[in-house]
Amino acid sequence: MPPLLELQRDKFFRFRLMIICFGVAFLVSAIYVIVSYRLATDLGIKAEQVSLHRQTMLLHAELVEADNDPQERLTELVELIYLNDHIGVQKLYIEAYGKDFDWSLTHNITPQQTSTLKNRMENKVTQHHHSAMASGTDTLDGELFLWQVVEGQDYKIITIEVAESLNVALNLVAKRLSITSIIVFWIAAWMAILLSSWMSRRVQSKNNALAKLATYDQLTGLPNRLYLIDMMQKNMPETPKSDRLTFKKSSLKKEVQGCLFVIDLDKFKEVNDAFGHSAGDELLRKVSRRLSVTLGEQYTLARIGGDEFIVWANDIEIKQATNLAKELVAVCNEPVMINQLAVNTGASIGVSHYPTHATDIESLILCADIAMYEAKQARTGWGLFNVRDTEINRQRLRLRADLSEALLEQKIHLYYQPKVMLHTGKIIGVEALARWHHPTDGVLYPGSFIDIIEQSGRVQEFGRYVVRTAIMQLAEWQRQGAFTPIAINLSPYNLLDLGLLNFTLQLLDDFNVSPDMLEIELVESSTSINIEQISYRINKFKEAGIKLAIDDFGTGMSSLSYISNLNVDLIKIDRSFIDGVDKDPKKQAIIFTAVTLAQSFDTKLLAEGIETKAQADLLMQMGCRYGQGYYYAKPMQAKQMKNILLTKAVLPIK
Amino acid sequence: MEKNLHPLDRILRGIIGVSVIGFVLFNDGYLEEPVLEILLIIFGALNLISLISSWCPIYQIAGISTCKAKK
Repeated sequence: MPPLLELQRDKFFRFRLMIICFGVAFLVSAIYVIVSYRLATDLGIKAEQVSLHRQTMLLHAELVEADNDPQERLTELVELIYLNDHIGVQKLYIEAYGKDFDWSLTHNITPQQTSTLKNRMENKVTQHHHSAMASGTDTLDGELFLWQVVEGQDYKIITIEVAESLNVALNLVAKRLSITSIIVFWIAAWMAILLSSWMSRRVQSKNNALAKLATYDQLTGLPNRLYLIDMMQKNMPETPKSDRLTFKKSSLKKEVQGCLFVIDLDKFKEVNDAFGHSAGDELLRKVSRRLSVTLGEQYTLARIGGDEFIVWANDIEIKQATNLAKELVAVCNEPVMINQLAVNTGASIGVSHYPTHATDIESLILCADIAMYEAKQARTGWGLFNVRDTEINRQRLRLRADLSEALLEQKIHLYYQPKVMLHTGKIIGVEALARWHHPTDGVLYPGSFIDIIEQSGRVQEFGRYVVRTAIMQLAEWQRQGAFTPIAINLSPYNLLDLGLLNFTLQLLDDFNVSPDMLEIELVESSTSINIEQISYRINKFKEAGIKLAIDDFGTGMSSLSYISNLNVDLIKIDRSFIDGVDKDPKKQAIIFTAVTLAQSFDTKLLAEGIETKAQADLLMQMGCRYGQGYYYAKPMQAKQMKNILLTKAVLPIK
Repeated sequence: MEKNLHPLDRILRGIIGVSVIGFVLFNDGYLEEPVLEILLIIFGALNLISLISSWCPIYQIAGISTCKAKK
């Protein structure tokens, strides 16, 4: 899982914002520098051109006005205006001519440049709308030259000078604009810091809210699973790799340990159903408040969904943890007021210890969950995780995974154990017992897989499978000349299968087997689960002609009146009463009662688990007529059973 | 007004402040631009103020502090 709290801090956010601010500042500065430079040069050139125009006009006027020796006058003026020490020009060419007059002055300009410039100028002057006063600029050898023509009646003057504005502008840009840029940058830097911190603070507050939403439960305000896992990941150095790397460090540090509690409210569903969901929510709020008050700041309480809470107690030992668990159970047992009614919710708590039980969070939660489940089953309030349980659990999980394959490939076989008449040893029927031929675990007995089938939701499929196999076996034996009823064991869940009766009758019809050849054995305790519904169904089977038997009579919780209603054909006394019956007068008394009961109900009575001749003899004396057990025969495969049936053997075979 | 500047930060600001104001005062007509001069003086003065008070308003608003060494 990605560490969620990383979400809160985007370390590069501020950095990126600052880079963006600087970038913008740089761009703006660059644009301003370029534009201002061009503006300054344009303005300068314009001003220079205007002044050149005026100067040239002045020269022209002076020429016109000059009475004697205009050439000398011109030279004097040009020297004064252009070639002085303080504002003299770098490069200059002046030409003046008229009637009987031709004068020119060259200053730092080569004749080649002059002729080139003059040629270009001539071209432009002809295009000029006001050719008598034409002016313009021209770039030559990387320098900008300004030129001006003034043409009067008598004289024409051409002035060419190099523009100074570019250098001046560059100089100014270097000074002022660079400092302006520094100031802009300075402002931008502070803006960046301000903006970035302001924005990242806003983003962070949003992120915090999101993180809170993601890591907290809305109803109770407690942290949720995500938060818990994140927090625990920080607390426990779970991977062996990091352990190795930080070996020196961790040996110095105190060893990390802690306990995880899974709390499940026992009556939450009932409260929800009885008082509605708002009452259920209220209950959760009250209980969670109470729990957090009890736990204080030291431990972390999280709600991980429904009515399940997890407590992570850092740095406590198992002994302290059991005390805490007891305390929490007591807290949950205190009644809660819901709709002015005191509701006693009760809770089951499972405890697991880090690192003895598991070293990663998921397994730790799983361990505590298993412990909690067992505590709930045993109604002990709380339970500590037991390593042995996981092994059983693991095997169960594996069997559960293998179940589909076993059903598909018919790996679950039926074995048959004869039921005999005690006096004669004649076989009156066989009981079909399931055996799972597991590829790795060998032959498994029903005790180790029936409840897996019941929990996996394939119980009806399995029930039908058993019914079909038994009927097919009956048909086969009938063809071979053996007419012996088969009894099958059905789970109460099978009797909830509405189609089972029709399914069975259809099969019996298809295979041409009489219904009274099939017997259904009901486990007494199972038949007491949903008496009304099941007795109705059972009677339907009975009406169809199928025989009924009560299995494991004497154990379980069904009432005697119920047995009287059921009208069964056979009562099978549980093996626990047969074991040691010859020495235990109390067991004899029970069997005697059962015999009387069977006589009064006009029902056959069969003793299960007969292992010795002494037991068989005693049972016969007491009036029990039928028996079943290892003394006569163990459960065996269909083929062997068939052989015994066909020889019409009398049991036990000596 | 809690201090939020590290001594190094203060020294840096001091150097910047003094050199900027010094430049404005003794640039010998280099700048020829009063607006820039005023801006530079403000810039320098702010730096000097934060040098003296060892507190920077922008840091305050931005929630930055160089007072303690960064993690």
